[in-house]
Amino acid sequence: MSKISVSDTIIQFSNIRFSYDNGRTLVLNIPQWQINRGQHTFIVGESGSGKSTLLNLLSGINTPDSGELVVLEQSLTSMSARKLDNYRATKVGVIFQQLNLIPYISVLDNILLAVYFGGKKEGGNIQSRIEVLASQLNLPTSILAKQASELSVGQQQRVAIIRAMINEPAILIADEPTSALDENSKSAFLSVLFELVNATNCTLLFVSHDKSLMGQFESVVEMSELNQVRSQQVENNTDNRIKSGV
Amino acid sequence: MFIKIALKSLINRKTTAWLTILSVATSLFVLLAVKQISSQAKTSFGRTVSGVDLIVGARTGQLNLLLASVFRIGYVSNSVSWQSYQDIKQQKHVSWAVPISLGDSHKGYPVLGTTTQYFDVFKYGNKQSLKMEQGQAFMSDAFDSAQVVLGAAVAEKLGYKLGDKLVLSHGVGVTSFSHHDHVKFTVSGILAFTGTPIDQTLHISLSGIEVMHVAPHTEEHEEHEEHEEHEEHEEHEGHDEHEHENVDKVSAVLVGVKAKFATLYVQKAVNDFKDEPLMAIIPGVALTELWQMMASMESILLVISILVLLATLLGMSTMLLASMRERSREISIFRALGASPLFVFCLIELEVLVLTLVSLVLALIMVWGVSLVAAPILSTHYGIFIDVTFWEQDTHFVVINVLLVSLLMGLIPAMNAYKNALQTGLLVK
Repeated sequence: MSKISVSDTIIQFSNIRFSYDNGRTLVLNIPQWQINRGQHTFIVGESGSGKSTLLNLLSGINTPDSGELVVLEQSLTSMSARKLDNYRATKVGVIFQQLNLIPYISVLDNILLAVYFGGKKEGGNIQSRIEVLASQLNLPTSILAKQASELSVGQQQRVAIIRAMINEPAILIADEPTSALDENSKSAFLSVLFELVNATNCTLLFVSHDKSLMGQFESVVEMSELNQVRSQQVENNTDNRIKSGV
Repeated sequence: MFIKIALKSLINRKTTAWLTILSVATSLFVLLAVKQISSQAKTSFGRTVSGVDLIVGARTGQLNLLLASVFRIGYVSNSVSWQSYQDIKQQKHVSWAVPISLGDSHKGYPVLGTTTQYFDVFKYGNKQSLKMEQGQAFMSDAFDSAQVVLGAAVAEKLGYKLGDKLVLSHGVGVTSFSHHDHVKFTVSGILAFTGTPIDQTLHISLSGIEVMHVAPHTEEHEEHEEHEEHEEHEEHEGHDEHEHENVDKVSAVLVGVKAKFATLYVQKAVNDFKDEPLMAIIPGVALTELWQMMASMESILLVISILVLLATLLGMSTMLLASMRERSREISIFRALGASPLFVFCLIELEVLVLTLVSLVLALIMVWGVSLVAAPILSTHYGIFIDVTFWEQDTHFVVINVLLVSLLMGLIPAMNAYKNALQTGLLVK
């Protein structure tokens, strides 16, 4: 198989299968899927649709049973666990729904933690980058010294953006990052997120239930369409219980 | 960053962390204290007597005789007649024989009646002789010039100087009710510090002992009048042999032989003594018996303290394991940022290491503090001398083993965290 089919493809799924319980429960089956560099993708899906598995594979936390997953012209499927950890630290930024920060260390340390795992020195350059990002995100620099637990949810989410972007990752995974925010903060959060992502030509994968946000993304993916596991199961066995779930 | 996270994480749970540290420190304290006291007591006992080949006394247990004659612990119930002492002294293998008479005290410190030869022949530690710090040995015999030689600690604690006059009482114990206060003893000499029960002892001549007991008692302490009759009666029964005009009986005889090989020969001769039932003990052999007794006690205490320590270390593991549930969020954040499962594993082991190290330091300080307080009490009341040291000879052995065992115990929560890190995904809800 050719590794790079189109020059600006950043993520390439080919015949990816992933299952739990030693192969008995197939949860993910993606025959073919690709994402271009800098593309903003909106992913919708019910819980249990294989969404988390997809993100775990993309971030290198899990490896597929079969198939090939190529990210940034490198095959994740053939990487060692150590290399996958390093790949995740340097190439992938993650923003969770909530509780992004370690509560007992300072905001600055939370950000520096990403720098530490990314293998960069905590020099003055990083410090000024953090301050620039903070001001772009409308966060006063005084909060950097605070304990993470002292911040409001909105502030915590914005700090999570700084932490996710500090190593200038090629891919940003955001898992329902706006669900804990009110309407006003939501649109402010999104616009600043797009601004930062565009500035570094970062590829954004945005998982959400909130279909009102869909319009702002170039591409929208339904998990039920992407993940062929259900139709496979329908083909393979005639269990009505599963059929009714489709 | 790694160490910072471990420390901050512990500080975040400071109540449980401190409780864990306190319990580990307490059990470590017990372990270290048992080790320290047993090794120090051994050293202290071992250095108390040397250069004495045999101790002769009335038939009793050999430990009883040793403890009473050398360590002033317990009593010698019977005594050796003056005639027997003379006979032993004249045996052909005997180089010297020094009688000692016990059973009296001054303000809780034992009074020992002996001859001036005692100061020349008695040796302690590594065959060190007794040294006069000030003054000289007592002059024996003179009735009105009864003299006393003080041990270093007695002089220091009671503030006596050369030439001071003091009253010696009959019987042992601080609240001895019958004072022989008609005879005043003058301090003629003060011994140099030895670190043995000698320091706690007042030495007078044998005739001084007799003089103390010969005259009628004058009642000084009126508030004790009611008790006095009773007490005195008992004392007299117990120390009957002291109540005669002349030196009649002594408590024990310290013997030095001319050549080492003769020790057993003299011992047999004394044990077979016809005129009265006597026994002779070899201090080294009796000490060995003491060690054996102590060794089983010591190992029981040691085993118990090790078990207690293991239990508390298990408690620490349980504490960390219980915290894993609330920390699964934390672990998934670490993983998302690129931490390997090994990082999480090491983080938990580092926390174990920090907890144990702090506990160790705390325990060492506790042992040091307690021995600082206990040392004077032990030396005054039991004649056991312990050195107040922060770091014993084999403390590093204990420290290394404790750290290893705690890391081993830490494997339980650390492995749990490792597995957790392997299985966790990005989306822990």
